[in-house]
Amino acid sequence: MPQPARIEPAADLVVIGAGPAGMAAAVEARRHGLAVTVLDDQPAAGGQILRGIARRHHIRYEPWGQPLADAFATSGARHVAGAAVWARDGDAILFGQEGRTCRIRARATLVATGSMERPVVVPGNTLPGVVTVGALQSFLKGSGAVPDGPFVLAGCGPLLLLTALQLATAGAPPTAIVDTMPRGRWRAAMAGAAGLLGDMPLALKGISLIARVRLAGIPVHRHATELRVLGTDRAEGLAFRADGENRTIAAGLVALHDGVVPHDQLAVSLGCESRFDPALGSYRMVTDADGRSSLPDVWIAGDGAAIAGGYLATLSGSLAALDVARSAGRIDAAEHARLATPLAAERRRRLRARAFVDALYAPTLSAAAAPDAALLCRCEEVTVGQARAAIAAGARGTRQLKAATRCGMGPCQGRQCTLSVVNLLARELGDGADLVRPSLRTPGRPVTVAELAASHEGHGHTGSDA
Amino acid sequence: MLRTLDPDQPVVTITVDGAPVGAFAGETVAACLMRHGLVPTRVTPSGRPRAPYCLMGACFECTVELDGRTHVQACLTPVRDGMVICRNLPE
Repeated sequence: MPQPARIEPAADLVVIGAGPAGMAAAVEARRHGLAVTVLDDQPAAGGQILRGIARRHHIRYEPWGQPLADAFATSGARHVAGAAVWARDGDAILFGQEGRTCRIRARATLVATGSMERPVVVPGNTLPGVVTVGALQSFLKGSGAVPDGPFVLAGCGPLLLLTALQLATAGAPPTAIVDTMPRGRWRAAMAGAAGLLGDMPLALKGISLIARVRLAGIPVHRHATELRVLGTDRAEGLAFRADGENRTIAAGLVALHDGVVPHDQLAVSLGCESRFDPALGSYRMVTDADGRSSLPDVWIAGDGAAIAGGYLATLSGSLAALDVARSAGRIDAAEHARLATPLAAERRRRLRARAFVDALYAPTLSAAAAPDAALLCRCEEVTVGQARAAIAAGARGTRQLKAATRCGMGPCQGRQCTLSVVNLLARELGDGADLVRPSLRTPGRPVTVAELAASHEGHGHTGSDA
Repeated sequence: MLRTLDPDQPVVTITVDGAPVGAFAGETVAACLMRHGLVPTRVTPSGRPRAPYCLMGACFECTVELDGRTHVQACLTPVRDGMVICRNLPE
């Protein structure tokens, strides 16, 4: 017999995700007396950018990080680590913790699931020893571990430069950076440069990052194309083309990166609406300025809704919490306006810098540019060539491609292939492509039959769900 | 593949595929496996080796059997003394 579900004390606000948006929302909601529970699938609070902030530091965190982590720790919000949310059943949220199904009634739900790295499609990208650049950061910040032996960072994006610098500072400089930013990007991005005035700290941080990577003396191969991971059972190096020459770098770890996108699968599986943004090559969740989603009583904040970075995630988290507090009658409209107006103004001003950043770091390693042999869907082992053949045979949309090839039907539930499929369709079919997102249904994460069976029973805190 | 920056952390012992493996109390199962070069963590139906990839819970490449539970994401799980892990490898 499976164990019955554990019933958690009901909360005025259940926050899903303990990164910058989730922590800021919890702190703000607690200020207005709401009972808050934060469910997070990671071992400790912080999300990705503040991962490991409570343990021995091996990097310098953003200046707002420690104050936020301290405020969260003392806010009175209940933090449940290792909690993998997989469904919303009426007003209850279902999650698993070490195989045990848990159920919590939520008067309001805030999805703050942050970002994930954009899928990178290059030949050899599934070999052991190939990781994302974010994975190297996760090892460093979360486990105090760095690469042992030669390793290379390849791709494009601010996170790649930041990670290279953090690893060099920690005593493990990369053998090389293979930079895939095409020629002409800086000139193309200048159209949005005036927006940087809205977020000067971001602009200065970017300039300082580029300068410090140069000073660190890490070899950089610019405008690289035709990337290919070498090796048969494990990664042994990276082959690429740069400066008109074929080059190879021997490396036991190859870290790939092509920017970040919303980690929005849970919000979509709950039924929240999203729209494809061709400029970003990704979806963004449909919300109002306060983070209210297309579903009643569900808000979305931070990078899980649209990419804007950690600091702006704290602002959108606070704004969502203030809206929840207003909806719950904890603050009146005047108090809401007094607290929310300055946050919303700062957020709007800083968001103006996104156009420049998004244009500069537009995708470079997507499936659309990959050779047929590269794997597009890691779970179901579908190659780019198989997807192209399905398109040539008449598939016009994501759902037809899924039906024809099984891509998106494995355990990651399309996290690693949906955007590859969408960008491939857009490239092959242009305006004729149907980019409607494939349906994501409950459960939002793979669960066992026993976990599913347990979800409707339960004896716990109140003995009742009501 | 990896080395630790915190060698003075308390050491615990976990079991991987029947053999004892030293782990640092503050690391994840995925970091521990990579530090010992214990890859692949799974083999696909077509026989290809896979190992931890995203380290944030999004790719499901690092799933292992852990204390009898199947498909546990090693990157989301901190090590604990006495843990028993089986990689998803062919017999």
